[in-house]
Amino acid sequence: MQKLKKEWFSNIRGDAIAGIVVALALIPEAIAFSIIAGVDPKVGLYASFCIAVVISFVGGRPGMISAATGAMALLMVTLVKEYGLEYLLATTILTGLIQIALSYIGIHKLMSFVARAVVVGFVNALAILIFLAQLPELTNVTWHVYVLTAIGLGIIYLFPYIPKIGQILPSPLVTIIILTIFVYFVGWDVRTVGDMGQLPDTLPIFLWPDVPLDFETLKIIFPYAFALAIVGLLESFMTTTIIDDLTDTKGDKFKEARGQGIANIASGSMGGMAGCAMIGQSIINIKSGGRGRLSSFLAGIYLLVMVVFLADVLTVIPMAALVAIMIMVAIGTFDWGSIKRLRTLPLSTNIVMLGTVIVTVGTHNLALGVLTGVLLASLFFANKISHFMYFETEYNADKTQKVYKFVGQVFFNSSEKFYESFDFKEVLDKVIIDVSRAHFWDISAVYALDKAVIKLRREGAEVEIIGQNEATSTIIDRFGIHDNPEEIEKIMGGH
Amino acid sequence: MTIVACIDGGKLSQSVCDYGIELAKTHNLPLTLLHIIEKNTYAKVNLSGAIGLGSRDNLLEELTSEDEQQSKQEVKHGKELLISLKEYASKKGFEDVNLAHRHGLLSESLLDLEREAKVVIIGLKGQDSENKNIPIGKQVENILKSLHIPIILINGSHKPIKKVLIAYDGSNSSKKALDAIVSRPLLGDVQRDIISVNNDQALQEAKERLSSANLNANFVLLHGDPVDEITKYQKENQIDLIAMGAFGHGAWHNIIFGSVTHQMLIEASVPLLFLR
Repeated sequence: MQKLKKEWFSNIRGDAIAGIVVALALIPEAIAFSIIAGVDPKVGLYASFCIAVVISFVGGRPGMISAATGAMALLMVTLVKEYGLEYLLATTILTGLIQIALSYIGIHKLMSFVARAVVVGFVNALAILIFLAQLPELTNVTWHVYVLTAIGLGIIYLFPYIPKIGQILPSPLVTIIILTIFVYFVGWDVRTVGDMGQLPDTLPIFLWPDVPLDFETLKIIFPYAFALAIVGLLESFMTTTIIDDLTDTKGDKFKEARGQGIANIASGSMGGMAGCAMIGQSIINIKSGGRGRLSSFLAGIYLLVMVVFLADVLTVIPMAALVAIMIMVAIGTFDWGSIKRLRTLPLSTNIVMLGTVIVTVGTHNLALGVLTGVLLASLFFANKISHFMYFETEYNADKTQKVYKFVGQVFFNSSEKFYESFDFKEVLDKVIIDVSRAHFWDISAVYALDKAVIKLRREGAEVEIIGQNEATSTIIDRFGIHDNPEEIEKIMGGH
Repeated sequence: MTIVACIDGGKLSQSVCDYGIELAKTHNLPLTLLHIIEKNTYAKVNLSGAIGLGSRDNLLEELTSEDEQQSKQEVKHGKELLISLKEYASKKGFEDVNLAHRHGLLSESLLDLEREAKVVIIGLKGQDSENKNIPIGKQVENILKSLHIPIILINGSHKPIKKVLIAYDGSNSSKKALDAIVSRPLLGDVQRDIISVNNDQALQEAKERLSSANLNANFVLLHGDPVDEITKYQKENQIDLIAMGAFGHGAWHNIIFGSVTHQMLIEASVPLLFLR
């Protein structure tokens, strides 16, 4: 009770004001992301309203903003093109169901496999994709559009420097107002929001997607829904971490995952597309003083009110204003520190980050990018660890007996190196393999040892193994005991 | 085990410390002085809504340095407070004092200490609440609800506890209150007045409980509004502390009817001992 009260009402003033700033920034983004997905702006706007409001009740990270996002919109493009809006709505609902299921099997714990470099790559790839998505609006157009976009960017970044009002009025709003009035009076023939499709004229209503409920439909929508679910959760978890850091508090990732699912189900059944947490918007929210659940709730409400009552005004906003705002979002999302750090970080880390970016930008699929990043990071790690193995040899007086003493990690990646440590050409009566200070992590390691023993026997040597039990105790798949210092000492002892 | 006294530099802190010393002496236990640093301000706000190069890093840096300054100041203030009260205790001839200084919420820190604490002593109003026109501190009710150890709420300056009133209505928590004062004497050797309002059966029950344990007490049956009668009795008989069970009727009853606990918190002029 107390906690809920605190999360909702401890920062009413800050949240109420931040909610306005967020709503004003959400509107252009929701329209822009609808255009990316290939649906009417109203789909993105309804989605942003539903998700922002629902997540304010069921989310696990107060102060975080969720709505229709670019990462999700990019995954829907072919689905919308081939099957249309109704299938998108059904996919959105399925996405929510998958997310709820994943939340209960503890998907948030898997986030520990997503290395820091992958997170940075994800964020950077997302920024690049948002920027690239603006290019259609900037190609094959008259010079007017470039002028408007440049003015827009100028206002966005310079307006905050104006004393007093610069810190009070959201500069994206100022951009929209100035550019709209300018175009309206000068009469330039540029594309406006009204040209991009239908805007909401009513409040959203509950509407079950008009698709056949059969296996065929599932076959079409499941792959999309699964990718959406994964990307949505990834971005939400990453944003949660960012907000945790900024506010020095801790979000509940399980609750957030489940909340994202509930919000997507709500969005899909109210005519909206799937969404997730938004890095840029959440930063704007924190910067504007938003900390509680109230700011997300109010942002959704303000958004709907403004959109429904100002629909006529929205239609005349030039697309160039939206493009300028989206370029700002791309710039603000990009992790510029990561470019500076490229020179100082190890090459493997950079490859992981850049690999994530390249695959994502190439496929327009953040899930594939992250998968690539995680694989690369794991391979690099395995490679690094495999260097932590060495051996010493010792002979008896007449050189008929040799002791191989192994120290370090033996597993799939280092088992070859382990096998090749033996000099099979040497003529010996007896070979003693001391592995009491080595750790055998998997069956590859055991197999390599067996192979070496067989080979040595074939060459006519008698083989004795010392400490095999100690070495193989690491193979066990029981993880519980590893929290116990004594047990760890038993397994890892001698290092 | 230890006696925990929560101090925050408000007007009641010294009195809380005094009661803490008294109880620590009674039980021959160490006294723990607990001070919490609660962060709760969001100072600078920028409504420009624009995010540019390195916005996130800059924002993190900004918020961190703000918190850093505030925390440093509060840590310093808290340390001074703890040390000054420790010196105060040693002046009063009590040396066995531990200092506990923690970040976070008071209720969370108290939950962490629940196992070691024999009793928690806390002011009815903290520093944050004392200048506001509210009868009880913001956190009191939450702490009463979340903690399962005895809590003494202090609302004035210290007076040695000699005479204790036990409000008994037969509920489970009031049985615990009776136990705590009588069979496992939390307050040491004190004179006990067991009061029941409008409930003779409960009073007889209390009599039986005590006589079976071979203990003495005054038994008084009063009629009327529980809160009025108990506070009146307290004044007329120079009672030094009122012990009662907290939230006898369950949470829903309290939300609908308002609780005796809450009324007692507002009306009482002597420390209140709550048990759940």
